Amino acid sequence: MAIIIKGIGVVGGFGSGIHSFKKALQTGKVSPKPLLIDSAGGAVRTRGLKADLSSLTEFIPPKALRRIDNCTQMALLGCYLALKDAGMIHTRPCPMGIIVATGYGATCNRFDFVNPLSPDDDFCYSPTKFSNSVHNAAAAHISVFLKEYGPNLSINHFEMSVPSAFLTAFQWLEESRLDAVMVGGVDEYSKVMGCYGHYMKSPLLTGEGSAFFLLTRSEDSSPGYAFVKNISMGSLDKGTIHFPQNAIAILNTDGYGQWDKCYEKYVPENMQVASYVDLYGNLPVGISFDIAAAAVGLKEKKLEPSSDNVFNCYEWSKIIDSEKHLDSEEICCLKISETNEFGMVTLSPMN
Amino acid sequence: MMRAKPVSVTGMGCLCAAGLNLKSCTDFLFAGKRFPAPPRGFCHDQELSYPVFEVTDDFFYPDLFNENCVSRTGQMALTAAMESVIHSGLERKRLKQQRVGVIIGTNVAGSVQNKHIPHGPLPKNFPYIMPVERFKISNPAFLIAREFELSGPFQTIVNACSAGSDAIGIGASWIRSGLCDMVIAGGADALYPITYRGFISLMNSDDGPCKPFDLDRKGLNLGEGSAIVILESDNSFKERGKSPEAFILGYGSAADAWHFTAPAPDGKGLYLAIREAFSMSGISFSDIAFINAHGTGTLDNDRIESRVFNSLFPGIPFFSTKGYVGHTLGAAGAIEAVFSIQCLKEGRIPVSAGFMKPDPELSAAPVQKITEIRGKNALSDTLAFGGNNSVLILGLEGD
Repeated sequence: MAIIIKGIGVVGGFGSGIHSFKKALQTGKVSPKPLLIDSAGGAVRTRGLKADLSSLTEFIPPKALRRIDNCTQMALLGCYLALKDAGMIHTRPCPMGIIVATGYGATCNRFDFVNPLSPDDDFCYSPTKFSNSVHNAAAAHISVFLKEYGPNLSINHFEMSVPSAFLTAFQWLEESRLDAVMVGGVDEYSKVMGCYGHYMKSPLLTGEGSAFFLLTRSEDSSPGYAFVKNISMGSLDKGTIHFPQNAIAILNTDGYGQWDKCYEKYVPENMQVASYVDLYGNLPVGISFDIAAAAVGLKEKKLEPSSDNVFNCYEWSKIIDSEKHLDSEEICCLKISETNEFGMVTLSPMN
Repeated sequence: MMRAKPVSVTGMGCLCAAGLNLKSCTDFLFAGKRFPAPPRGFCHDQELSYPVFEVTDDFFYPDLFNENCVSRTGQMALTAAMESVIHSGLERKRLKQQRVGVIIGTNVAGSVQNKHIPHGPLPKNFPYIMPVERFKISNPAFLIAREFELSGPFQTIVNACSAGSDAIGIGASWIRSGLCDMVIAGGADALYPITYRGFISLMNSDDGPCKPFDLDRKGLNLGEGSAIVILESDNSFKERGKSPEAFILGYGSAADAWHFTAPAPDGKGLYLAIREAFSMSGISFSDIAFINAHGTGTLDNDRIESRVFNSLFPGIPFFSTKGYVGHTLGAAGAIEAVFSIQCLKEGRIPVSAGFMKPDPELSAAPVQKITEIRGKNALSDTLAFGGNNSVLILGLEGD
């Protein structure tokens, strides 16, 4: 029995939907938005990769979205796009599990819980804003809108949230608890991280977005993107990372050289590597976009060239910098965190 | 679903307003006392203060730990984890050599500490970074993994009130699947001003001591604490000559898919979660000796639980411990799981604190005196904000 990626829904600075994502992979181009962040030293002008959520109204009427915040809307759009991509908007397997991974959750920009009518009143909290700040808000809203009664999980382990979410999704399917799981990651643009990247002169822009995957078991013979072969997680203080033979790595680099150097330490020298972080930006759930890139690549039997400036601090000899034809290679999507934890999701081709 | 193999619990640790370790917590429950009070830890100048159940500040002994932990939730998680490891008889050396996973449920620890971030423009010297850095290194699962130098998988669940139950249920699946030899699983949450004020804004808090299932109930009291269990494979504990304390027989979870802040009036999600848990356990409803209810003291929660209990488990005694320790959010499911195991071992359940007057609208009422129980199995359920329902079935025997 194997686990298949049946549908993918992606939203980010590149647009929304799998076609926009593929176009961004092919062209290597996205359009950052100018952003102004207030500071006591004057306005900080920076740029970020912000998501466009206008296509959500294809699935949910605007009136129903009035009290739902940006983070949850991104997650909702990702899920609906994944179901649409799988051809399962109206007839999906039931029950379906829902797992939402997030790095910051909904609170990062919700610094202000105060009633706008009395901003000095420290305890006049908005119940709507408080409710939306609870980290399982996105997963809960997804279940309400989809009328989905299956198990519902929210994970917040910063950069390890997505590998952790895939681990549980994989287990739920492998133990036949469910026939389908919607799993993905979502993070909202953070003015804190936007400023941080600006001051640290990071080569990467801060991004936001969501990437969701409909996973099923392979008894169903209809096509999909790729198999989810394996998920591994652990601490690099204790061990190392085991890569399969004949595999390519997509690295979720941060752009902060001192931490990204550790990829050079653990990825074999002769392994071909790629990175697409320029297309969706720096965000804790960024590896979910790498998984999408890997799945698209395996389905189309080719990987697009890496983003231009992500490997500036490396001395890799085997960067994929032009279109690469794929045969039977597996793709390992790897994230190493600043706290020396690692999470890796390995996909394999379907035929 | 076929019956799943029971997973052994070989160690437990707990701290909450009832006590700083599992024994003192259990003794406190059966003493029948409770001491809710206005929060000490943060300012509040409201006319009405809503009582909470706080842990005393002297619970954490930094010298016992290698990890330098600054967040209260992290300190609680480490303290309970240490007690569970000692209780299990495990040595640190053995933990380092085995495949040990960590899975913790929390609510507060998943949040950037918003109170340290000014509402207005960013200050010139950019102290925003401190709250973010603190957030990253204060993750309780991360802290436990670092403290004991563990190399297995890790997960932090933020499923609101059911996070602790979900952590234990999923941790058990890691053992069953062979992914880990041991799993440190549980929940931790400290009192936090935003949560305190948020629940008040939702009108879910009682301005007096909470009264789960009572006619005059008005809402919940928040609490804080942590509970951790050591889940262990048969090979692992047999190799070191240890016997299990209890077993995780079943776990079920399901969503209400009804409303973001209110539970489904028909209890559909709870019914589904119960059925899944029993299907996994292989035991029948009548094999349950008692139910440790979620029992928050809110009108809706208690109504739905009493309806479901009366429908599926008529005559089976139930109680809520939230009258003793408050609603500990992400820790609740884990604290109630270890309380349930202790009650099974003692052969008795405590009074459901705060319950005095039956509500004629409720189909069932909790116990009003310490009650002896005879069976070997218990059910512990949690109904989360956002509509998730999680159920654990715990037993003293694995066969």
